[in-house]
Amino acid sequence: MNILIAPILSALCAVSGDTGSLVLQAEVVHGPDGPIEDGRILIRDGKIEAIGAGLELPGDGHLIELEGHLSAGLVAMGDQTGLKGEALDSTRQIMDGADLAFGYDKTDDGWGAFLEAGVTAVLLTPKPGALVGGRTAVVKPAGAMVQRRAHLHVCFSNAAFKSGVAPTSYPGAISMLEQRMETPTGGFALLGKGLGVLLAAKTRAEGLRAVAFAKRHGLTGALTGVSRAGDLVDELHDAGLGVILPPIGAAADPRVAASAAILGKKDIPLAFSLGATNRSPHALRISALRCMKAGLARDAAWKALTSGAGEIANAPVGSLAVGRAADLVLWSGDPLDLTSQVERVWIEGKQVHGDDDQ
Amino acid sequence: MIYPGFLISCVLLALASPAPEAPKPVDLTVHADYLHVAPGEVVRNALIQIRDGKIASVLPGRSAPDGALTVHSIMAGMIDASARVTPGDVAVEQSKEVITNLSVTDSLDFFNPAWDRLARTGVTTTLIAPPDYNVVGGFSVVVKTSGPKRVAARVVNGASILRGAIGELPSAGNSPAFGRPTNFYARRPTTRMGVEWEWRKAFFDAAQSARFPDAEFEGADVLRACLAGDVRIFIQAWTTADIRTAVYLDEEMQAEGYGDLDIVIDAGAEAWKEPAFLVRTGTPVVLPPFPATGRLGERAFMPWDTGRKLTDLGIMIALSAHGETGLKERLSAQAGYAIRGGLTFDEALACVTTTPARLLGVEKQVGAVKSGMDADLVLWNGAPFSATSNIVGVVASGEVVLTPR
Repeated sequence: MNILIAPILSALCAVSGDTGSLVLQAEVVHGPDGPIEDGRILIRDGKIEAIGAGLELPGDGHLIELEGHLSAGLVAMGDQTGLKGEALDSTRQIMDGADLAFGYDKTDDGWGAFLEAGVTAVLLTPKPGALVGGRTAVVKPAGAMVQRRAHLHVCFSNAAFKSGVAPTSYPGAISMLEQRMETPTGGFALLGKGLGVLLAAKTRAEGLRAVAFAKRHGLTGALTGVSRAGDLVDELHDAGLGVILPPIGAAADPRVAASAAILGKKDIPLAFSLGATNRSPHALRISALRCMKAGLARDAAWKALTSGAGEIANAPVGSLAVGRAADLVLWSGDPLDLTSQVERVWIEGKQVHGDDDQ
Repeated sequence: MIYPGFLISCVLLALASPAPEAPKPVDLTVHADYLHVAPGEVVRNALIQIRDGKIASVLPGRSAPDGALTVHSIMAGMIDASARVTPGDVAVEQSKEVITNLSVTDSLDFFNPAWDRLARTGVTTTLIAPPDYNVVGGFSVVVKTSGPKRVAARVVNGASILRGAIGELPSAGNSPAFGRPTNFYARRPTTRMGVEWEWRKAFFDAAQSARFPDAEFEGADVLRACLAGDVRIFIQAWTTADIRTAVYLDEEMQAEGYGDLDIVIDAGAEAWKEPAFLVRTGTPVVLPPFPATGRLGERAFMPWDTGRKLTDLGIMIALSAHGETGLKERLSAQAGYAIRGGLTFDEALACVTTTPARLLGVEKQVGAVKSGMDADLVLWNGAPFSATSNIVGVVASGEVVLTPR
């Protein structure tokens, strides 16, 4: 219904086949350098080949004109969909050699909800409950594995402690981690060599200890789970860490959104998490809008949903850059307006959600 | 000892002003009809000038200038040597019964509003210890109750103080192994007898490992520093049996020629029962809060004249409210109860200021209202500790944390 000029059958062939190219044109394309009116995206072999307003249609190309806004897909952080309750191995406190990627199930029913919400990349994280729960992975809903080993997940909150197993305390936990860093093996040895660190915490005091740990060892990555991380902005800035913000619903403490605005003003890289399995992925946009109301700049909020989140996820996702996979979302209007809906979703140039009246 | 925040501000100040200039104006001026500089030292109509968080001058016989805070009485900020503001059992590592190489510092949460509540009761310096679920729980730390919410800005460098316990708590919750032991709670002591054995074994092993390098173990150096008297040990011992055990431990180490432990009994409610033990080893006692309902922790009992009796015997005592902030439980109320039990005002004042400062090794920085010391003040609308007076203001490191206005 959104198609004004539609060489329907050939377009479908072009999208799914290896030959030919596809050009999507939308009223607004949210490109890497800002919105482009009547912008076009040239897609070949599932990748973005060019972005611009007046792109010529290649000889083998097929043009689809769309109503609405075309943007990169959103990136959701910290989810356990598809892991079938296997997001935490409770037998060991330190699982630095374990990869969540082995639990990823792209056939899980839950992925549909992500596509409906315009999410095209998800950072899978272990459930809190161990000191080092394993290595995170970046996946596309019902699609490819993008990054098998994104971060080592280190938990600084009291969720890491279990009765009868060392460590039982914050000082004990930090001492254990420091011992591992002295002569790093396994996942610890990979830190800083392509593997980031995801610092899970809850309270601000835990967050401070986590950030200090990363700073001491020169680790890159992000802090997740601290709802008022704005109070740690100076330490985060010094350590060069990002922050994964919790879901901020309509009823959330206003200080949480205000905290995000503080982080945004200091250019701390931001992203949004879903916080719990089975939370609607629509929560991402709601969180971003709450933060904007509290003073987070629009560009920063959008970045936190897309390219900034991709950077924190340590994977090539969330951006419309040339050469990147064509993971796109067509919105009925401005994506940062809650009245806008997801019309269609493409992953690697292939439409995976939305009207199929092409 | 100067704490880092102040040091940094001094350095910045020095960098900012290369040439000597006129003295910086004071940040805050407070006035009192009666200033209790230290126990036994009263200054009438005192004007206290504060600069950079420190007391710049104490001027006697002055009237209150316009704009100064003025109250009936001022005394030094109080010191609680057993304040117990921790996140609970996660502040002590229980995977070993004797932990000597960890500090409670890594568990502190200065975002906890309990700190503000404590500061507003006039307690400005505290000793925070690991909770007593272990035999030896690790190092305690002296911290200010208010200031920036960062550990480095709050720690006061005082004595090195290790924390341990004798009594029920270190053995509570452990159980003997039936069949195959599944975790370390089956290894830990389940009785007082077991707790006492752990203490003696730790020190014996540490002393032996000095002679036999193969017997060296993690944390033995700290235990040897205790034997050498370089590290003070606060031992929680509520009952007279447990206080006796602590004294015997000290005497046994001396008899063996291993060293002389520097022990302070914390929560020594029943120190009044057999005070001769404490007298002969010169062991100080931090008393727990006075019992409103009779019994205290571990079914110990402490009569209200305990402070008087121990002081008469020359035993050094400090009072504690265990971090309680209610009107009837807070540290200033404890001082009032001790006075009702027979202590003089000055003795009670010492029990919440200068004596705990000495026990924590911070007496040069806090505990009295003297030039150069931290500007920690408690402002009263009448005589301190009197049942008809209230704390109406608190200044901590020069910042007004409770204002009388």
